[in-house]
Parts: sequence; structure tokens; C-alpha cells
Amino acid sequence: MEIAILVVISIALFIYTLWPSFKVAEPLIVELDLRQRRRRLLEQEKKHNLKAIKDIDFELATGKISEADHEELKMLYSLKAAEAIEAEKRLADESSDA
Amino acid sequence: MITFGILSQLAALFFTLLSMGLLLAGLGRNNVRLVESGKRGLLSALAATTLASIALAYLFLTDNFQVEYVASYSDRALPIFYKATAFWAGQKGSLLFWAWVLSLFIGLVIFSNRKEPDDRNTPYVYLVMAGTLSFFLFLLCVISNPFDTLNFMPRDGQGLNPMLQNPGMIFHPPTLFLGYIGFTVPFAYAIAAMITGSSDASWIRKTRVWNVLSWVFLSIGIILGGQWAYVELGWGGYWAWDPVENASFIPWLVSTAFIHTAIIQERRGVMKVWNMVLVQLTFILCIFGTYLVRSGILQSVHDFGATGLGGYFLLFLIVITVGGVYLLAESYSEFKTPGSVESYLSRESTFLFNNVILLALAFATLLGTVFPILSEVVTGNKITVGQPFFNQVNTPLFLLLILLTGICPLIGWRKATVSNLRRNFLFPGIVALLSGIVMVAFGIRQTYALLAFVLAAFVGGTIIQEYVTAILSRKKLTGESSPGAAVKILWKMRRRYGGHIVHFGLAMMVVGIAASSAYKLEKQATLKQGETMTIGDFTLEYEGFRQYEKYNRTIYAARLGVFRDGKRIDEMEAERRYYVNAKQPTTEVAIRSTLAQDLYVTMPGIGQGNEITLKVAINPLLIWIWFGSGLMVVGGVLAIIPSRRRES
Repeated sequence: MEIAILVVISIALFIYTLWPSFKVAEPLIVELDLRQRRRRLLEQEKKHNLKAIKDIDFELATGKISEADHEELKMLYSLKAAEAIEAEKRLADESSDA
Repeated sequence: MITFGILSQLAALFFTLLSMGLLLAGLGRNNVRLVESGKRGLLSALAATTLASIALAYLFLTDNFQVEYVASYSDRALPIFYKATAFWAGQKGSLLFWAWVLSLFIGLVIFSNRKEPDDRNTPYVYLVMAGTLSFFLFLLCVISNPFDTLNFMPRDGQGLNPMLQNPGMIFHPPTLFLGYIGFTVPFAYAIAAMITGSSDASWIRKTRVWNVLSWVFLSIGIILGGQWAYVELGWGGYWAWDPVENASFIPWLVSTAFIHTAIIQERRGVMKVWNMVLVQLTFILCIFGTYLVRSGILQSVHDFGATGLGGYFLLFLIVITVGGVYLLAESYSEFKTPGSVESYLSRESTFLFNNVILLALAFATLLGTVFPILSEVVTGNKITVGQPFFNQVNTPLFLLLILLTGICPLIGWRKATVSNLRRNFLFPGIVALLSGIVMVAFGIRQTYALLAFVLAAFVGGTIIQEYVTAILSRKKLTGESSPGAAVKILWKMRRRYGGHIVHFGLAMMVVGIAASSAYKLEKQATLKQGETMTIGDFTLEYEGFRQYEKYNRTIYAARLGVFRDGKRIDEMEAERRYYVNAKQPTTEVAIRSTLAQDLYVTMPGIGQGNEITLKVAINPLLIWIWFGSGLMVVGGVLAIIPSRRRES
């Protein structure tokens, strides 16, 4: 009896497992082309630098860094973020031209 | 039910292998349907391992002693809750428990990803987890089957080791396993990221909860193991640097390092290679820990093959280590980040120092643990490394770690200046200095103990300063009351303050460990009824003796009156127990715990006319270890409660 129950359960699980593979195939991976990869990297770069600005604002508010250091770092991260945003825009323009 | 169990294990292995085939086919043919089938295969494997586990539990509960594993770890007189927990008392049941929990975790990963479309990483994540699961299922089906039967039916089983018949032992092994197994998830995500070259921090973000949760489980497991040793073994301590303890402590140290540097990668996008190394090392050490405990190699290198598992574990370790190193080398250029840390005076650098110390601790502990094996291989003689080695090497490193725990929150991310440091260090520095003066005034002279108290006070001062500053800032901004601001800060910034609570718990533990190690009092005496013995401020009077039966044991109990300054303040009962089927009696410790000290009594002997030998100890501040470790767990849990805002 136990064996019969297990066989039934196993068959049910087997059907459950294979069921999706009988459906019409759909692609799994949409390969990122170079442009998409570049866009993704720039997006990350932008996010990191904007987050860094938030961080140093908090560090200044809690007295962990001096105002001079805050200014210097804020300038640095703002420039980096601006560069990333600019590059993103250029990439978008290039794509629309193409 | 025996055949049912065996076939369920085989079905689980079949579904896992099928799932691996489907996932590979999905990748090869670029077909998401096959990947979906692969995931379903893993859910089917979960169902099958659950059935196998139910079958084994049923065999224990119904006293089926034809099953060799049940006969070895249970008997008819064993209380029902210990029958259920005997499941993981031995090697074979532990392996089944591993497989079941791992399949459960895989199911949880599939469930938590249900709303996300499968990308190029997911099949690899499931493949790595399925590969690990198939290894354990293979061992269960072929090498170490818990459903193996005897060719006769014994009238009774051999019973569970009396020392394992303790509530702590119900939860200690499973929580430890939950910790070990949980690290499979970040490991799988890391491997997938290396294969696909996904160098962003998404794998870190996705696995953060798993990292911390596994760390929490590992912590609980280690703490419960220590508590079990304290209340059950009767030698008065909680940690002996035993290889089995070390096997869980080493991955705990490395995973702690990983949790810290994962924060840097998440916030700054740097230290990607280092995090890959740490997550792999954590998983490898989890498997290595299981290998050490289960292969028999700790008894002797000659016992390496005795359990039949040693070679397989070693092979698996080699595969994951070589595979991990190869993948890391292949993807190094993708993960390399130039110019990681801007200033030596920054939180990033304190995290790096903390990593160095944690890894040094892990290495020293590992070396001490495997040294007897290495010496036996090289010289033929087993040279055991005892507690003095571990204490001598690890204590200064731990103290440095505590110092960094205090310093770290005081330094900002990216860059700090000396003037900021001076201002931020003022309050915790004063707290540490004052506590040092008070300690010296109270006669504390032991260097390490004094340093430990001072550093713990420094950590406490740091955290209190951080919390109070945040409350005041919030009050100023929102006009909330102090309690309201305190609660809201704790809840809204639970990741940050969860971490602080963990550190506060650690400081409490340090105080408990230092006090109970350096200022422990011990005394042994033999008493006749009515006689007394004195230790510290306490006097114990042997007031009475009784013998009675309970469950599967005969208990001999001595009643002791506890007196202080001539006044009776409490009563304790120390026991010796004779378990059915046990060869030797065991002692049951009597403990009277207060915030200041534990009065710890064992009864190693009972002589003529119920004359008793008592071994008594006073362990100062020992309860602080349990409170502190509890706080660490609470902090860890608080840090991983998801934020709705972030999810949306």
C-alpha cells in the first residue's frame, strides 16, 4: 500500500515537473549587446555616486566628517555622477540616431 | 515504511538529477520552459525528501528497531520528544536532515523569486544548489542510508546518549545545520555571478537576508552548544576549543567578515573579488566542518574511511574549491575594482582591519583544530593542541576585534579627519577610562580581563552615543518625544541599529567571558548529611537525599541549602542519573544564576550512607554571556526584517 502511494505521488510529481517543458519554447536569455552593457554600467556608476553624496551628507550631519572634506568629496562625487549622466545621454542619442 | 523511506530518497535523487539535466538543457537551448521544469524538479525533490524524513521520524516514533539507525539511537523508554530529535543524533539522520533542509531552502529561494523572470543567472543558481543537494542525496542512497536494516529484530534499541537527552540538544544541531546549509544560497548566487560575469552587487543584495539569517542560525547553534556544555557536561565551562566546536566557529568567523565587506560592496561597489573569496570560503568551511565531524578523521587519520564518508566529502571539497578558484581566476578582470579605499581614516578601512583579524582568528583556530591530524600524517604521532594555544593566540586578536567594534561606528564612510575623531571618541573614551579606573579600584588586576572590561565599556559607550545622537537629531527634526524617536529610529533604521545591537550583545558577552574565565572560584568537598562547605560568600548545607524514577532514568538527588551571611537564601538540588541502557551514570548540574554570578554545583560521587562529593564553582557574570548572545541574535533578526518601502 505504502509503495503504491509513493508510486502515485512520484508519477504526479514527474508530470508536474515536465509539464512546462511541453509548452511552446520561449527564450531565456536576451543577450545584452555592448551598448546595453555600457548603459547598465553607467547606470550603476550614477547610482553609486548619487548614493555616495547622500552618505557624506549623513556623515556631515552626524559629525563624522569635516565641512571641508564634505565639500571636497561632494564635488568629486557630483562630477563623477554628472559624467555618468552625460555619457548615458550621449549613448541614448546615439541609439536614437541609429 | 522502510521501503517507503528508501524509495523516497531515491526519488529525491532522481528528481534532483532530472532537474539538473533540465536546467542545463534550458541553458543550452535557451528555453525558459526547460528552466521552469528544472525548478519544478527541485520542488519535487523537496516533496520526496520530506516524505523520506517523515518515514524516518515515523520509524523512530513507532520503535522500529529493525532499522539499524533507530536501534542505535533510540529505545522504548526514551521520552517521545527525544525520540523525534534522535532523528539527527547520528551521522545518517544528520545527512537526511541536511538534504531535507537544503531542499527546503531551495524551495524558499524559488518561492522568493517567483515574481522575477528567469534571467541568465537563475539556472546557474539552481544548478549549484541542485549539485550540492545531489551530493548529499547520493551519500544517503549509496553510502550512508538511514533506512539500512538489521537482519534480526532487537527487543529494544541501544538508546540515546544520556548527555544528548537535554533540551539544548533538541535545538542545537538543527540550528547549526540551518546555518551551514543556508550559506549554500549566497555561494550559489556568487558562483552564478562569476559564470555570467555579473559584476554588480545584485547577488549581494539578493542574498543579504540569507547571509545574515544563516549567520543568525549559526550563532544560535554555537550558543546552544555552549549552553548545553555548561549545563550538561558538568565541568563548569561552556567552551573548550573542542574540534567539533571549532568546526562551527571557523565558518562563523569568516561569514562575519563577509557580512561586513558585503556592506562595502553594496554601498561603494568595491571589494568584489574579496567578497567572492569570502563567500566561497564560508561555504567551503561549512562543508569542511561537516567533513571534520562526520568523517571520523578527528579520532585518527586511520579512521578517515571508517564512516565511508571521508573520501566523498574530500572529493566534494576539492571540486568546490578548485571550481571556485578557477571561476574566480576566469572572471577576475570583470570583478577587479581599482582604487577601493579613499582614506585610511574611514569606515571602509576599519572594516578591512576587522576582516584581517577575523580571518587571522579563523586561520589560528583552523590550524589548532587540524594540527593533530597534520602531525599524525607527518610524524605518525598525534600531537593535540589544547586550550592554552587557542587562548594565547586568540585572546589578543579578540581584544583587537572588540576595539575595532567600538571604533568602527565612530568613523564615517569614505573619509574622516582627526578633529572629527577626537570629538566622536571623547564620550566613549571617557566611559572606557572611568570603567578602567573603577575596575582597578575594585581590585581587577588581570591584564586581559581588565582590557576586556575597558574595551567592552568603550563599545557600549560608542553605541549609546550613536543612539542618543540619533534620537536627539530626530527629536529636533520631527518634534517627537524621546521614547517615540527612540522606537522610530530603531525601526526605520533597523539594519544599522540591528548591527549596533549585535555589537552591544558582543560587548556583554566579552564582559561575561572575561569575568567568568579570570575570576572563577572552584572547590570540592565530601559531605555527610547536615555538614556544610563554604565558597566565596556562599555556604552550602547538605540537607537531604532522595531517590526516584522518572521517564527512562533513576535519579539520586541531594538537596542543598544555600546560605549567605548566615541567612538561607535558596535551595538547590544536584543529581546523579542512571539511564536505562546507559553504561555510566551522568551528573546533572544545579545552577543558581543571578546577574552577578552563577553558583554551579555538580555531584561527581555518592558514597556510603549517602555521603556526597560536591564540586562547586562560582562563575562571575556568566549569565551576561547568554544575555549578550541573545541580544546578538535579536540584532541580527532586526537587521533582516524587510522594508516595505524598499521593496516597492
